[in-house]
Amino acid sequence: MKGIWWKGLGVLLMLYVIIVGFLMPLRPGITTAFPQNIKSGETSVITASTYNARLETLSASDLRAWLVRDTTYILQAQSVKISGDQSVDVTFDVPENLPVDEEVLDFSLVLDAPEMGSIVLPYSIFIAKKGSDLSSGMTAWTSDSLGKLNKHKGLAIPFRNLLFETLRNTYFHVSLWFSMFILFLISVIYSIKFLRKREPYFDNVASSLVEVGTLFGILGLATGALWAKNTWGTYWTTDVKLNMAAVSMMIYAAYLVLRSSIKDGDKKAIISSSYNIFAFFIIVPLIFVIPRLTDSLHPGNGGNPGFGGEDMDNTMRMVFYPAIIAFTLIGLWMSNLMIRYKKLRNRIDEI
Amino acid sequence: MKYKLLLVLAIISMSINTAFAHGDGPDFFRSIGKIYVVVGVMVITFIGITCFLIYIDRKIKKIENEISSHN
Amino acid sequence: MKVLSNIWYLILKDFNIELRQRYILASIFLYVISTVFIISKILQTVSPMLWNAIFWILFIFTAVSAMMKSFSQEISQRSLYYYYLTGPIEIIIAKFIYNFFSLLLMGLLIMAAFIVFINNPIENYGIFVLGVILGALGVSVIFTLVSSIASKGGNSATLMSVLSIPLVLPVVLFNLRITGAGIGILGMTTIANDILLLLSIITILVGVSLILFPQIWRT
Repeated sequence: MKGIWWKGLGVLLMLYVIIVGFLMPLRPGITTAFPQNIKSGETSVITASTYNARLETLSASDLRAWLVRDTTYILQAQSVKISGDQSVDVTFDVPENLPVDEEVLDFSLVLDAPEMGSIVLPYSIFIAKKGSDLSSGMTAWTSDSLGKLNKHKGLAIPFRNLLFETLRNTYFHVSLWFSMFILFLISVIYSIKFLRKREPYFDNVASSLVEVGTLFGILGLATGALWAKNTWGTYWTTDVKLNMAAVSMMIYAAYLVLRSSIKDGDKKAIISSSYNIFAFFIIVPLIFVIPRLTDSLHPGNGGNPGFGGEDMDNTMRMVFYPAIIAFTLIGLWMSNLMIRYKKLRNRIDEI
Repeated sequence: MKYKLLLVLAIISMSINTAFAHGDGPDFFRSIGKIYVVVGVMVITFIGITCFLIYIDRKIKKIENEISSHN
Repeated sequence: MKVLSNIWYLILKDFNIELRQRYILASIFLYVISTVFIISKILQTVSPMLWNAIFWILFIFTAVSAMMKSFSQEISQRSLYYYYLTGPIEIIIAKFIYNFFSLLLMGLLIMAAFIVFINNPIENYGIFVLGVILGALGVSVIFTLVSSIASKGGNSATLMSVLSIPLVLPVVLFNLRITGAGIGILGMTTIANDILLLLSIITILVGVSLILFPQIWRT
């Protein structure tokens, strides 16, 4: 049993991540609302398409809907009708006047029902100005209230427009990067150990960890490209975080080139350990400092919400943290195979 | 050898990207809330780990051959 | 005192070698001038942002070709002699200082060539030259250690560029921002922060190379 439990733990955690990661449903959400532009002083019907809302289990009387701006200006819908499997017709009797002196104001559409909870499509409905009486606009837009909003029942991960189910990629793509960094960190520790003790085993460990870490990095790039294609529309953007990741891959590819260019075993180990340590101290600012200085599309830098924000909530953390551990353990297992191979190789070469 | 495998891996993952994106019509990946993107990501990860297994398998086979020819 | 005089002696030795091999200096000078001339012919008008980018690209590539010889010219017997005469720490400090000044001169040369042959978008010379000085500092620290690694790797010409160009990127990105502020395409608000971060990165790298170099030197 000794020496095998952590491999088993890695596999079990991976299974947990795959099963729970896929089975945990997405919270309901509104994908689109049509028409987007409506006029003041008219009765308009807005068709909202929902996702995962399970409308067939609801009755029309449970559903409530509002147009909301800044939680102060609220207009309750006159009637809400379920018009299809995934669509709702909401009728609004829009007042003559707007509460703010603007030509066009944007409002968020809010739907609410018990079990389903309240779902929002932010800044989606644009109302054009007709009358210019601000005070009557104020009274018309503040007379309704949201009342008591329902909470979604059951475990579910957040609904994000555009991302939809691909939010689950967080468990794989992001964990790959995290575990890559952990592998590199352990490899640096072993490189330092090697330079202190000059034990060839430590160099075997360090180089194997770098090889597996580089593989994880390449997988991270490939999965990221696929995800980006289906969210941003291109495989590659000129985004800082992407480029920094690519550069750190280049640095480790250079490490592998360096190792293969030196034939003498002892010299190879010393030189490549030194390079590994030096490169790590350059990669830390590359990945952690520079992306924070510039704006980017990628979550976690600039003006974008990171994992502390809306992108990650407690239900996702229940899968995300185990996923990091699972990928790290599997990476350690893979490097363990490599280390044992290299040990055998060294022993055979000695004979 | 190592670089050849990495290259093969890169080519395979790229072709998966393009095949999935244009295989069954342009909207295949976008159906059912883009769940196939997640499947694609898992397939890429799986292929990567499999490539590693093939790589280490070949290296161990080499050692086995050396040992058996030595005896 | 002994250490300082040793360092001074080693710097002088490098300088003498440089003077004796005058064709290297001349070739770097020609390399810079002809590249700048080609750039100015291909790109008729150069926007300040492009100017800044090309400046640093040319800086890196000239630095690669200049630093390549930094350790590879040390023939083994001579380096053994130094090793008995002085410690490795003194050797790397001397190399740092020598490479810093040669890169600084090179940067100023490129700057002058850009102003003469292309155009002069520099608004704040103080900030710009500070950017060049910090760039020479950061790049020389990284290139000194990498060239010592590459010289052990044998085939150093290609190895040097493969090893050093990705490594030098973070330092150059900070320099792009600092000189960008000197040109006027970026605001001055973040510059103090940038300089501080760059200096802390350079300090860490100097510390790491001082620890690592004795290990590399002994092989």
